[in-house]
Formats: sequence, structure tokens, C-alpha cells
Amino acid sequence: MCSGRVDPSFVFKALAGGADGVMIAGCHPGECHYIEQNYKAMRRYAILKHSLTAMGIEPDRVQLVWASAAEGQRLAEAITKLVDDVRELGPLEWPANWDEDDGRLEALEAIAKEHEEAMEVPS
Amino acid sequence: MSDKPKGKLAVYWAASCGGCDISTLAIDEKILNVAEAFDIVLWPCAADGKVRDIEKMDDQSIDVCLFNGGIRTSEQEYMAQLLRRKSKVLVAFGSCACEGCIPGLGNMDTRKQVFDTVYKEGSATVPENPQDVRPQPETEVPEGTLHLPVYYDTLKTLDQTVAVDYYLPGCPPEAENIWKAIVAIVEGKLPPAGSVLGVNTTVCDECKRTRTEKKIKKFYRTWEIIPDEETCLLEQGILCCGIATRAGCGALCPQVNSPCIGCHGANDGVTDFGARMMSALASVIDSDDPEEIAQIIEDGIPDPVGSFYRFSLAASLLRRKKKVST
Repeated sequence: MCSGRVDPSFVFKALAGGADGVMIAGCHPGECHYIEQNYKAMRRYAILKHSLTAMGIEPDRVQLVWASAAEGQRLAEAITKLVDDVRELGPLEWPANWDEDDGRLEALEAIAKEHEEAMEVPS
Repeated sequence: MSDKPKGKLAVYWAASCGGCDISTLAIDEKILNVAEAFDIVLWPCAADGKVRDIEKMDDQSIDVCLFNGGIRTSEQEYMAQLLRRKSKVLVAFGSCACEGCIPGLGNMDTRKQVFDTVYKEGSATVPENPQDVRPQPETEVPEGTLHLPVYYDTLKTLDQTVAVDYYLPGCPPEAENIWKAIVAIVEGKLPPAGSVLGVNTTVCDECKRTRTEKKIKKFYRTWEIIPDEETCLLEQGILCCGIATRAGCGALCPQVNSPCIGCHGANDGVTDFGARMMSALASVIDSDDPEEIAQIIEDGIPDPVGSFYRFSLAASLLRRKKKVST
């Protein structure tokens, strides 16, 4: 997929689905078959990172890498770097972020029980 | 409307400001037509009706429930479950129920952070609290145990809590759109379940400003610039969310020289409103230099979550800021 097609929602979806890191790889600036799509990717990446930081996600978890089809070595090194960086940061476990573990179910049951026990008010 | 047998209507509010109820009353005298078509079995803001009476009703015996507000406490979750069970059609009414809205921005904090702000740091509601008293879900008194609702860390939207049949967008939904929705319900002319009751196009389509080519070198915050009244606000460097926001409001805000802030949420098929905004803005920033791009963004958009997710944080793919145990 062209890097210009990478919508920030793809990255959010990966992270929200449990990914600990995301790499966006694209052709070098100036070498775009579609003229300027990788510049769009560059700007989207900047704005995406700005937002991720605000959401408390370490910027190193999402990395943008320019690598052409002839640069296998470069891509491999970038992947190794991403894996090392993410390993250092540890698991993200994003879906656990909205677990409510503090007495939610008990509280829900308590409401139903309390309503059952409440005195009937004569009409 | 009078030739049909009367249906049953419930209107409820959870984590919301009450604006949805006011907007419902803003259909003016047509509220009498609503009362003609429906028995209002519950509407805490405007009519009598007891939760206990709802509990005693048969399941599916309420024809329509208009539910506004997000789900922030156990009591609100209980009411969402109860009204879902008792209602044939449940409408997520307004931005809070649809996507969390302003109360959903509380997802940038945790319960502890919110409680610290309110009960410790001196707020308008609790100016002094030297003993650091906090609300407890359970309190023992001689007569028995008293319960307060549990306040959740994360506000959820209505459809993250129970199944929802229809969505009515807006903060609040405009009175004329509320009326259109009510008429559609009464006449049985509803779209397929799961639909948003509204149009499927962007605010830009309803905005009369002149658009040419968007090339932005600098974003201005609203207080930094007096925009000209003819040109597209985004082209003038003002972060206007009209490009990503569902229409239906008549472009009310841009009409009065104020940028769209996105209260109608995204159109069909968009999973994340903020991502849509980011994607669109990235296309119009006029620079190919990574450092300059970063500068334009950092200077011009100091609060990306407040700018891109003002109404939709709770419904976004990430839903909240990373929870840090404190």
C-alpha cells in the first residue's frame, strides 16, 4: 500500500487492537510514483505523533521509515530498531485501559437489590 | 398524529448537561403533538415518572426511548440496561450518547485525577475539604448500608454499553432535526436499524463560504485572528472541523464567523473522527520539510485531543488517554 494511503485510523486500530508498536514504511521523499504521496505521509505522521503523545503513548512506538525496494538491509535494520525500542518500552496493552475493575458489577447488583427492597410508596 | 393509538415514550439523561432536553422542548408547541401521540412514561427533566414504575413494566413495552448522555457511573449504566430492556427502539440522542461529547474528555483523566481536582485542589463545588472526604460507594449507617453510584475511570458511549437502534447527532441536536426524527418514528418511516437519523455529507457542503485552494503555513487560534466573512475559515488558517463533520446543522458556526468544532460527529463509514481530521489537515499543510511541519503543528495545534476529539474521544479507537496508576 502507498504510504500516502496510510490513514491515522489504521495506526489507532492497530494500537487499540493490542499492537505494541507500528512501523509505517514508504518510498523516499522525491521518489514517489504518485508525485507527492510520501510528503502527505510525512505530514500525517507528524500530526499523528503529536496526538499520540497527548494520549500518553510514547512516540517511539510508531516509527516512519523511508526505504526503497533496493534497500532490504536498511529496512531490516529499521525493523530491528523498532523491535528493540518497543521491547524497551514494554507492552502497551491498550484495551485494558478501559477496564473498570473497581466494584462495577457489585454496584450494578446493589442498585437492583436496593430497588427491590425499597418501600412501596402508597399512591 | 391523533388517529393512531397512543404509544409510550421515555426520555432519559445520563452524563450530559441537560441541553438535549432543552433542545427537545425547543420544538415549541409541537411538544403538544408529542404528548398527543405518546404517553410520556419517564422524562426526569420535564415530566413525572418513577424508575420503579419502569422496572415494573413488561419488557419492550416502551415504544421509543430517547436517551441522552454518556455512561460515567454505575447508576447510569443500570438505567441504560433497564431502558434498553423495556424499550422497542432506543435512540442515542445527542453527541454525549452517540460519542461521549464534552463529558468524554474526562477520559483524559482517571477517577482519582477528577476527584483530586474536585475534592482536594479546591473547586467551586468543594472549596474546602481539610479532611479530604471522598464519596464512597458504600456507607454504613445504623439503618443499613447506603450506596452511591460508582464513578468510572472511563466514560463510555451508549452503544459501548447496550445495543442502540438509532443515533441522533448534535450538541445538542437541533430542534428541527429532533422534530423530523419524531415524525419519522411516529410515521414508522425509519431507516434500517443502526442508522444515524440525519444527512450523510459534510458541513462544508452546507457552508456558503468561498473555497479555493487550501495551503496552510500557520494555524491560528480563534482569538488570534478576525477572519474575513467570505473565505473558507480553514483556508484562513483556522482549524475548522467542517471538512470531517456530518452536516445537518446548516453550518451554524461558520455562518457566524466561528469554526465548526465537530459536534455532529463523523459521517457513515468513518471509524475515527479525529483521524479523519488529522488526515485532511495533513493534506493542506504547505511544507515538505519535517522540522517546519512539526513546528506548524506544535505551534498551531497545542491541544490535539481537544481540537480533533472535542466531541468524540470516548467513541474514538483509542477511547481515552493511557491510564497511569497513581
